[in-house]
Amino acid sequence: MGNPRHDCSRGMFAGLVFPWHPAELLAPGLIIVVVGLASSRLCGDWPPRTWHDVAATVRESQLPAVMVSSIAAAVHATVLSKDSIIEPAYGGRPVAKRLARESAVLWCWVSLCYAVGFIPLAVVTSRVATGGRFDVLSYLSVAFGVGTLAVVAFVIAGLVSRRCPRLIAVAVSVGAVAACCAVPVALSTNPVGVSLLALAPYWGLEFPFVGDALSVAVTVSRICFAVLSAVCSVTMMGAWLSRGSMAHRAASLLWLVPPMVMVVVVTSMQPNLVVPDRDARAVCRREGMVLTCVESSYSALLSPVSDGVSDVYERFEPGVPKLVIGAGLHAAFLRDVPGVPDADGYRVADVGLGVSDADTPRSYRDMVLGDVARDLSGVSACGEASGESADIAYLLWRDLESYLRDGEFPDDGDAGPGMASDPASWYEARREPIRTCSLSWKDWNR
Amino acid sequence: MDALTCRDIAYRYAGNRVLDGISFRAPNGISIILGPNGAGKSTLLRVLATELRAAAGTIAYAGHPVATERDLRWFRSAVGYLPQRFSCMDHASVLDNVVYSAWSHGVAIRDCERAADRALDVTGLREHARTAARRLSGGMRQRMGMACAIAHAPGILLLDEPTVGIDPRQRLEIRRFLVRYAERAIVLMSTHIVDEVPTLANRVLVLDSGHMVFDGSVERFRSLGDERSYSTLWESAYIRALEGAGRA
Repeated sequence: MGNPRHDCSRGMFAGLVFPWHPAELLAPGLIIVVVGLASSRLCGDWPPRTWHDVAATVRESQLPAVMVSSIAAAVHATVLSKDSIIEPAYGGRPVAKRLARESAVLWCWVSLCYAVGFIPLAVVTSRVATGGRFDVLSYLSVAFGVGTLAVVAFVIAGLVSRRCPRLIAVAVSVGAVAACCAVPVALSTNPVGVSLLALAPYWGLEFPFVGDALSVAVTVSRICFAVLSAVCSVTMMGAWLSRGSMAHRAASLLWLVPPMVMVVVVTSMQPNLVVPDRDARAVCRREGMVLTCVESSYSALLSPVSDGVSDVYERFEPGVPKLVIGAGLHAAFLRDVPGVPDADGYRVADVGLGVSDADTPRSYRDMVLGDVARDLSGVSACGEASGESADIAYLLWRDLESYLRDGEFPDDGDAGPGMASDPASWYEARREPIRTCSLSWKDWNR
Repeated sequence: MDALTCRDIAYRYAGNRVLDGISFRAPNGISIILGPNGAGKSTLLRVLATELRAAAGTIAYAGHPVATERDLRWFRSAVGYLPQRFSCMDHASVLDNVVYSAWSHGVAIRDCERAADRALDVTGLREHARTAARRLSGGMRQRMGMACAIAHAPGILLLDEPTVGIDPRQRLEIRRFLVRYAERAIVLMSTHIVDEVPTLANRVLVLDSGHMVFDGSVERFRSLGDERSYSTLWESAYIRALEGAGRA
């Protein structure tokens, strides 16, 4: 009687033979957990205070965990050394095929170990995200990404260990993985932190949103990840599909579907994923009729925002109660954020949300005034509409932005004589058609 | 009848001739390779296992020379090789190791388990199939290595000092296995233990400094011995062979 685990000819998982006992990777898995937790503790507060902290902590604890899993993989690869009795150099299978088979097995287990290692963080996350909306995708992507890097280490170590001692194999593989990590690090360095695994490195930048910012660096990083995943998957597929009956091949193919779907989901949906910070608190300041609020983490920005916008609104929209939503907040989630007064009766404006886009106080001030100009111009009321009024709204936005920033209209602007001489009065007289996107050229030029 | 034929095999390492002009024919049965340390026994086995590429000479099996890459793949599928020291998956079970070895030697995946079962039966490890490799004694680990080497039922089995450092009982088990296996395969085995010649060998090869100094039957090898001069007949035969007494 044979061991049922090795019966390749029956069952829905026919064709999949995992020669290693799961317990074999428990030790590396445990090390990954310990190192991950320890590095998390060193990287910041424990437990993390906000969702943003959780995301940053997870990111920053990935490097040591990747290294540990890579070393474990590289050490493990020595069973393929030149003295191997199970993988002899003279064996009938091509080296690449044998390594691919081992890589597939290792990838499964390292991913599993890593995912298990992040259970504590997942618990913290779910506790923080009391609304039950926590980012499963981030954990899946972490598990997938780390597993992939470990496989890279394993393949390299396997190839090197045929000619070199174990230590050299380990060193080379770790170096290669570090290089793999360095590319996305170089690409994704940002003011908040760095993503060491390339996936959505701008998470948290648009605090409190997750993944709603996309840049060239992010795109390149995600392409790196996708290519790496694809290469490994294709290698595994090639190794598995080249043997066995049709039933075996079908089962192997089915088994590969989940990771492929995961890659597609992770790389396509992630930038659109929006998760509010359930622990966010607002701090506000009132100047006349203008109430300005920012998230407490950005309280230092409250004065610049408030000072910059209250004067403008008092001039252009006198007597209108205004709620300015600043950094770290978003009108769509206002009801969930403690500290924001009842917004009924206020006209709400989003101003200066994109903190990451401003490098200096001056550029941040310009950005805030640009947002105010956009709010006053009524562009948002025009939406996707086109035509005379929409064109005028965009012209007004551009001219107002220039006027608010520099105190004068641009030389090549389109402002008429009335607007140029007394902008506030001109605006006051046309406030209603501007707000409803119905301003005509006739009104504009008067 | 299948036979392994080598003609003028040479191997150089760092400018030195480790093997030079090695020619012999090994039919079914056990051929024992004797020789002092550094004589080139292990190197010869590694060349035959195609782990090392010979600088000169030809190898043929069952009348077919191993000349092209295709021949090489075919020949490799017919060879099982157990190095003197080997690595395996220490944390995995004996069965896992043998199943894996069968697969890596080209056995179809659906036949791996059956092949491993057969190899474990032959090597007497059936009841230890579930034991982790790291828990095996030296002798049992050696038998597991043999099971790995024969899992794909090779026609040529190459063993590099398989009985070194093993207790007498285990050595006996291994000898029994080899005698059985050699009934239908070519077994080439290097050893330092001259006493294994009368109990195992059908043929004896003696290497010295990379040269073949004796190639003949057990009876011919025995005839070189002198029981009066040395403690045993077989050891004296070995010494005489090294001195060149057996050269044709």
